[in-house]
Amino acid sequence: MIDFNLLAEHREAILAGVWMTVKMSAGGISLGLLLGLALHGLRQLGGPWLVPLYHAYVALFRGTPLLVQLFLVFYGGPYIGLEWSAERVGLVGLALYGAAYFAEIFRAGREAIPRGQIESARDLGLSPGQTFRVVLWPQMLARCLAPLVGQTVILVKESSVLSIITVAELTNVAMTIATQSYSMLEPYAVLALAYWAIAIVVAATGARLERHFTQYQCR
Amino acid sequence: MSQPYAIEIRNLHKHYGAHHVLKGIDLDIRPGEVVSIIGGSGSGKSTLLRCVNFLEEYTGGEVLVNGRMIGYGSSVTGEPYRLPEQTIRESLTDVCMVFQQFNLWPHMRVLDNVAAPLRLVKGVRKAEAYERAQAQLERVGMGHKAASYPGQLSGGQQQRVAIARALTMQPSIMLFDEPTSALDPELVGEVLNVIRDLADAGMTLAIVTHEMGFAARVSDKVVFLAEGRIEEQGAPRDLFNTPQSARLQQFLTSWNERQGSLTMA
Ligand SMILES: Nc1ncnc2c1ncn2[C@@H]1O[C@H](COP(=O)(O)OP(=O)(O)OP(=O)(O)O)[C@@H](O)[C@H]1O
Ligand SMILES: [Mg+2]
Repeated sequence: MIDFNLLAEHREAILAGVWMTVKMSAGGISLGLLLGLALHGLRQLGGPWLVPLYHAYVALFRGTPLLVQLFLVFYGGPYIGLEWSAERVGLVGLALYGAAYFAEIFRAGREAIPRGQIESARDLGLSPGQTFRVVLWPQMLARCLAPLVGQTVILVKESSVLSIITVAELTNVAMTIATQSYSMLEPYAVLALAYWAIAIVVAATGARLERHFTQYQCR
Repeated sequence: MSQPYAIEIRNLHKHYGAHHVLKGIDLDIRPGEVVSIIGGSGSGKSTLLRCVNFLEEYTGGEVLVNGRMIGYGSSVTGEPYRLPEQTIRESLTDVCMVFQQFNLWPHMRVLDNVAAPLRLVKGVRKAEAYERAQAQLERVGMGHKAASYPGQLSGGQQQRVAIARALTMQPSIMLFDEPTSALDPELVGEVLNVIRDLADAGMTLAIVTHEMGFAARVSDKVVFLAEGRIEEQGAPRDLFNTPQSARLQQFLTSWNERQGSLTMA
C-alpha cells in the first residue's frame, strides 16, 4: 500500500526539492541557451581558430557524462583554487553541458536556411547584423523550437545527477527520505511524477511558442 | 566629359581554388542598355553576374559600377586591397539582383518582404515604406497579394514580388540570373512581361537567360559566353541570324532542336 502519511510528513522537504530542481534547471538552461547562442555566433564568425575550437568544445561536453564533468569541477576545482558551492557547480555545469547541445541545434537550424536568402539580403544592402536579426533568427527560432524543447526536457531530467554532488534538489531529497524511512516506493513514485509534471509544463509551453513562431508555415 | 558606363568589366578573372572559371572578361554596359548573356551550363554566366554585385570575390581584373570600383581599392603602391563590407554595399546601392530561386524571406508577408529593406537600409519610416512597397507591388501586378506569405504564391508571383522588392530600392541597374528557369512554362510570360516593362522604362539590365526569343526582342546587345570567355557579342539580329563562331552556331542549333522537339511533342 502507498503510505501517503510518509509523503505528507516530508511535504516541506519535497517541495523544497522541487523548487531547487526548478531553480537549477531554469537557471542552468537559460545560461546554457545564452552560451549556446554565443558559441554558435563564434562559429559563424569562422576563421582558423574559432571553428576547431567550437568543435572541440562540443565534442568535449557532449562526449563525457554530465556526472563526470560535475565531479571534476566539484572535487577537482579546489585543487586549482575553485571552491564553489555545490549549487554553483551544478548551475554552471548544467549550463556548459547544455550549451554544447543548444549550439548544435542552432547550427542545424541555421544551416537549413537556403543560402540564397542571405545573398538577397546582402544584395539589397542589409548588414550582416540586420540579416541575422531580421532574416535568420526568426526562422532559426521557428525551426529550432521543437528540438530546443526536447533538449530542455532532457536537461531537466539530467539535473537529477546534481543530487550526487549534494545539491538538495528533488532526487537528492527523495533519496534521503528513502534511506531514512526504509520505504523505496513512495519517494521514487513522487520523484517520477514530479519530473513528469515539469516535463509536461515545459512541453506545453514549447508547443505554444512553436505555434506562435511557425504561423507563416501554415498554408 | 562623356557619361560613365553603368557597368565596366575589365579583364575579369575568377578562380575557385585551381578552377579557373572566368578567363578575362571585358564588357561595357551603357546606362539604359539591355544586355542578355547566353551560354551553356557551366560557362560562367552566373559567376559573371555575381562578380558584378560582389556576391563572388573576383580574383583578377576590375569591375566598375557607375564609375566606382567594386570590392577592391588600390593602395598608393597600386596594390589592390579588399574594401570593408559597408563600403562595398554602399557602392552597390544602384545595383539589385533577381535570382533564379526568388530568395524571398518565407517568414515575412509579401508587403514586409518588400518594405523591410527600405526600412532597414534606407531608414524609411514604417508608413512610408509600406506605401512605397505597395506601389511597387502594384507595378508588377502583385498588389492584391500584399498580405500573403511567399509560400502561398506561385513561382511566377514570387518572382514578381522579388522584382518589386528590388525596385523598391530604386536601383538604376538590375541583374537577372535566369529569372524564369525555375518556373513552370505557363508562368514564364508574366515575369518576362515585367522585365520588358523595365527595359522599356529605360533601366539598365543585364539578363542571364535561356529564353532566346525574349533575349532577341528586348536586348540591345547579346553576349555569348563559352568556357569563361566572351566568344561572341553583338546586336541580337546579327548574333542570332549570322553567328560567326562555330561554338555559337552549335549552341543555337542545339537550342533550336530542343525547341523543335518541344513544339512537336
Ligand atoms: N562556389 C563554387 N565553387 C566551386 N566551383 C564553382 C562554384 N560556383 C560555380 N563553380 C563552377 O564555376 C563554373 C561556372 O559556374 P556558373 O554557375 O557561373 O555557370 P553558369 O553559366 O551560370 O551555368 P548554369 O547555366 O548551369 O547556371 C562551373 O564549372 C561551376 O562548377
Ligand atoms: Mg547559372
